[in-house]
Amino acid sequence: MHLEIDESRCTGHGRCYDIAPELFEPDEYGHGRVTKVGASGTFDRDRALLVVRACPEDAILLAEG
Amino acid sequence: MDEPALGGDAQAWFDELYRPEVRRAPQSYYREVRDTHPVIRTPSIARGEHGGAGGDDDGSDKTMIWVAKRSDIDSGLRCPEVYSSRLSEPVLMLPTGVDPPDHVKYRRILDPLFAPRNMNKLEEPITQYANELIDAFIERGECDYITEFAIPLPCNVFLRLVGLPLDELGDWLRLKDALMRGSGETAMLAFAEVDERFEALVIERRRDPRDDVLSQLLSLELEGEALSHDELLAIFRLLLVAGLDTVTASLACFYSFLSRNPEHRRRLVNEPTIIPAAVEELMRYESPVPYLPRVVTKAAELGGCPINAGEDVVFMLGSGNTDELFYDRPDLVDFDRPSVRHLSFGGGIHRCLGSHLARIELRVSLREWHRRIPDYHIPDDVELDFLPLVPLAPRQLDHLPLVFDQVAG
Repeated sequence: MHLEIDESRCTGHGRCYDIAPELFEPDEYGHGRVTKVGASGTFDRDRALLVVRACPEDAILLAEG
Repeated sequence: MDEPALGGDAQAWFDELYRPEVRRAPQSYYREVRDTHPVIRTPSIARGEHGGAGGDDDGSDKTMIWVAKRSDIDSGLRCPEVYSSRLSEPVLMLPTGVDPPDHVKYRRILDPLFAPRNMNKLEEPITQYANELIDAFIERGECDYITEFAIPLPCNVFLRLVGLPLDELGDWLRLKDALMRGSGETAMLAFAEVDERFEALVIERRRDPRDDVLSQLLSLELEGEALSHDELLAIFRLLLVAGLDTVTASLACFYSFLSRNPEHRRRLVNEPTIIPAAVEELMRYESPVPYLPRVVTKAAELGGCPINAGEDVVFMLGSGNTDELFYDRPDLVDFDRPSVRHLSFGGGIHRCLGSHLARIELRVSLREWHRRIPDYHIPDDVELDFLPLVPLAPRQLDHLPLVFDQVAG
């Protein structure tokens, strides 16, 4: 399980790193970037889903592999 | 396939849109629109016309399509190829007035200036300034929230950030109002004055660069070249109308709600950690910028209705933010709502450039105010009068008198 951001969809609302700063961080444009924790899968699934649902652009993917 | 409902009741549509009750609390109106006319075609309404039904004055038969459902709004905002931002505005603003691929180039150079890493540094000065404003009226036991807090807080932050003289606030507010709400000639005169003032500022900053957004704009490069004067001016116009209006409007909406809902107020006082969530929920429910215009580039289908190239479209963000197909109990303001996903900063590629700054200002405002003035109300004899909704103008109050029931010093 890990998190991904579809960069073609992200427009920098910043909800992901605002709600879960351990899973996402802002880049210099204010777009979201997955942190090491977010990429590693060592996080709570429900919390990740909360962020997936908070993205106004549907840009976050929780990959189950 | 249903044809969008056509012009027969267009006058009734516009009359409804401008009713004081609807301006004050549009949520039930949005619901009615979604139920009866989720997509409706009316005569087009020109920017700045507040009188009622528009479109006929200049003899034009241009049409406008209003879109109320969240699913249609989401798909429209994510499809700039069909729903273009190249509106027939009197003057160009950047980057709101262009489409891809130009749009992306401007955002790549402007986004960093307003990204969290820069905006977060402003939290401390904003906190300090909010407290200075409160100091000035707290002992009086009352204030006009709009003129004494909601206008000076974001506007002074904006002037400092951009690098405009603080003693010119009155002039810039007058110009902003003329641009946003003035009719044809007033707006054109204001644009001319903005151009003139901007020219003088540019000369000054080229000679003497400072640590402000104006100086940063002058040093920006697009594909190796500095921005032209016209590009800079178009960016400056946008900063002005966005920076001097929207946070004031949001605070007006927030406090008109909070002053009438003591249980919500009490939670902000007792659990300040919910303030960021409260900001999102109030942005959703109040939708301070309720309408977003676009223009159709080619024949397409919207919510099952055929639409034509050249037609104006208004995405009703406030309606999308209270759509019962998207939210559980949308008319309930619930600070515990998980993942409030709203469109109040727009959606798609034109997401509000200033949203990171706006969120800091709104959070600090709620935090500092409720720490010091936990209880307050609107005097009984006051009736709130939200300004008329024109397609681009936010929901705005000129005055909001508040009386303090409890102060914490």
